[in-house]
Amino acid sequence: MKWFGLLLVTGLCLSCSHYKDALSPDDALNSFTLADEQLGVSIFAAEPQVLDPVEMAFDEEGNAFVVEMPDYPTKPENGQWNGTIRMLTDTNGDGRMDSSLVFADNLSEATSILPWQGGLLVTAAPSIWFLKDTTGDHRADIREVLFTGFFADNSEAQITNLRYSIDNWIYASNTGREGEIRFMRNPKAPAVSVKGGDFRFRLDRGQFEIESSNGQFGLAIDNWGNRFFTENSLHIQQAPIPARYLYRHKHLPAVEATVNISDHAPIMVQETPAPYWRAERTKRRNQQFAEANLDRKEYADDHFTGASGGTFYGGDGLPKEYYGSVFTGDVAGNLVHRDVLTTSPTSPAFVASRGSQEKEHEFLASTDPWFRPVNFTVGPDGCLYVIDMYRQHIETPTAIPDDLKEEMDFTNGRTQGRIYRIAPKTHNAATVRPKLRSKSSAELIPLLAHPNQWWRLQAHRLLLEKQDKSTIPALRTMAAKHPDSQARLHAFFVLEGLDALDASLIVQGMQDIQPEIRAYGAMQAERFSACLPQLIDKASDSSARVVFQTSLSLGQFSSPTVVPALARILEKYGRDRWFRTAILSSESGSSVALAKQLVQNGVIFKTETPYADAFLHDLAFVIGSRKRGNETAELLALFDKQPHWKAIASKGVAEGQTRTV
Amino acid sequence: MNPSYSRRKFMAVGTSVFGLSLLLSRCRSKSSSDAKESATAIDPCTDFSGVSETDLKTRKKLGYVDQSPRPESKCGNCNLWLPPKAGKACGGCMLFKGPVHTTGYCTYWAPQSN
Repeated sequence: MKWFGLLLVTGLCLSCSHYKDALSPDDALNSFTLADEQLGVSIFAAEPQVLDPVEMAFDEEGNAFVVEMPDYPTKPENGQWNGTIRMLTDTNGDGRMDSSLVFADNLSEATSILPWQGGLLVTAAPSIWFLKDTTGDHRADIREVLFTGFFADNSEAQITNLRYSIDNWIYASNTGREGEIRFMRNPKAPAVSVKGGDFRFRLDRGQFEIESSNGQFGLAIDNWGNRFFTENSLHIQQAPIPARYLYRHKHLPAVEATVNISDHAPIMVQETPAPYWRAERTKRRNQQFAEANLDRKEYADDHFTGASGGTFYGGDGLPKEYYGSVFTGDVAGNLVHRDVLTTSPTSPAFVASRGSQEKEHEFLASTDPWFRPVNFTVGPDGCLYVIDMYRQHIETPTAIPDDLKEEMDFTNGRTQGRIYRIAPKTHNAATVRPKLRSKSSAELIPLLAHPNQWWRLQAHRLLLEKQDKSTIPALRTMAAKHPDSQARLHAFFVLEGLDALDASLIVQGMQDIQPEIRAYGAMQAERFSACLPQLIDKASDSSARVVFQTSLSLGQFSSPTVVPALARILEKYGRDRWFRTAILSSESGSSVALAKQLVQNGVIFKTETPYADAFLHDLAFVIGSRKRGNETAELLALFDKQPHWKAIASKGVAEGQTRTV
Repeated sequence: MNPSYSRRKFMAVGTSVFGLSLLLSRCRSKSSSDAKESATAIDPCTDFSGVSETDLKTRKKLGYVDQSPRPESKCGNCNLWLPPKAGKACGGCMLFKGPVHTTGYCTYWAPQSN
């Protein structure tokens, strides 16, 4: 772009546009650079079969459904919405979609789909819909609103990212926006506030609730149900404590529910220059910062600003080193970034790092400024699919100064759209047709051990749809004995969905060799008081992940026996703020009894440490906020002869007492 | 306070503030103390009298609220935040005119960088 500035300066610029024209799909292929030479990019679908795609999902038959969002970034006020869901078809089996059918149209800002009971769940703010074709013409004739009440004023931050997880819940992102959500299949059910969080629901049980994250566009759920979400400048975050624990009582100090887990600077290696409008806007903003004497800076390029579509790769089509990665696009940077996830031995928070071969460049970068990798999906063939909205401009117009908008046409690209397949160069692109709907329960059960997460989740979902109780013995055997730990966990949760989970299965789960299964066992133990002794034992588990879930689950019990266990956990893991919050989130974990236990144990109050200070302050805050009986006096009396701890407890109590809940 | 920045409410606030200022201007006495009183009668954090319709629409479009639903993300730690001038309770935003609360939030929130 520097040459352009020179042209302007010398008065030689005869072009009236600062912006490049679109490339054809085949020319766009040449704009890509992949970090790994083993891999290649091919066209799965392009205009006119697909326009403005923002999400794609393969149903159990292998049909590819695409959500199109041509109205972006405006919202037609006349009700003439152009949002469409298409089913793409490959008539000659060459792996490239050559035909499409409109499954549903006239949708207002639909952004996400999830195959469900032969149809699709669809997010289209302010609602979540169920659409289904019952006549065989591939066009939805059922259009049912399931949930409504979500924020609907900004298409870049509305209810989206429908994901089915191994725990039988469906998750969706809400960016923390306010909303009172009603379930239309049960109008008597109290509305649920989703302010500050995301959303999750179970249609099999009519349950729906806030979830403790605030994702924008992109939700990656790994093989074990851990969730990672995308939000503009913050390309990968996590919310380690589920909302149902975090909000058990109303007395916690303000809690940050989310954490940026990236271990690297928010820098992306971009192959395109910043577009003129962005460079100019950034220059003006930086000028404003300087004039206001603010030590602040905005970057026009090379820094994440439009991170989008974080997707977990659990497929079996790419080389092994990619398994378990999270792929995230940055629509402003015209690139695809990859994060490698690792667990921590002392915290539930993951660490997201660049791949070893991607320290100096991205997994994929394009020189085409129209390339807008908004989303991804993994197919039954195990390949990674990149959803490219293909737009000249992608930004909220209201955030661009009027003079810069004069030469910008935000509709450029409405007649285009691409979906790319990333696979090894040796991959045979033939379309895979799983045809799972006609499979029997007995045929579906082995698929719970498939190496590709897509197959496992489809089989899991269909088994629950069938509600075939005759599968219980086989599933119990699989949960107990299958050599594949993911198969054991799928079987465990299919049994849960069949209402066949009993105390013996839960105890067995808590003894599994796989930590994630032990953690889910601990979670399910909340349902059976008979499992409490085994749950208490998990407080000493060798895995931090198991102990963390145990700290949350023990809080569901009022028995005094949980207090020593919580104290033990705090003494070992209290340096981690998530453990401290997990413990404090329960009645037992924020009780005078726990303080007495900790004093009696003489471990954390033996020496002054920042973590002990923080825990005691917050514990005192909760007790002060509760204003229950003589608890405050009892707590302070514990530290009568220890001025340091007394001062911290007094401060916490005082702050808690002024809190209004 | 849990305001919903609907256009209607803005209009109502704007109109009432405008009406109030009109009333104050008509009733203004010649004493300087009265003039000071009238000047302080309007809370600058709710004064939209100088804010254009376009800016009001932008606030709504970006989902601005006075109280962030997220403790870790609020206008006060946003990169586009303009801190209050000396003696003022409210700051501003680079995206639209009008008062902005430190505790506010909109969908354009971005972490501060330097």
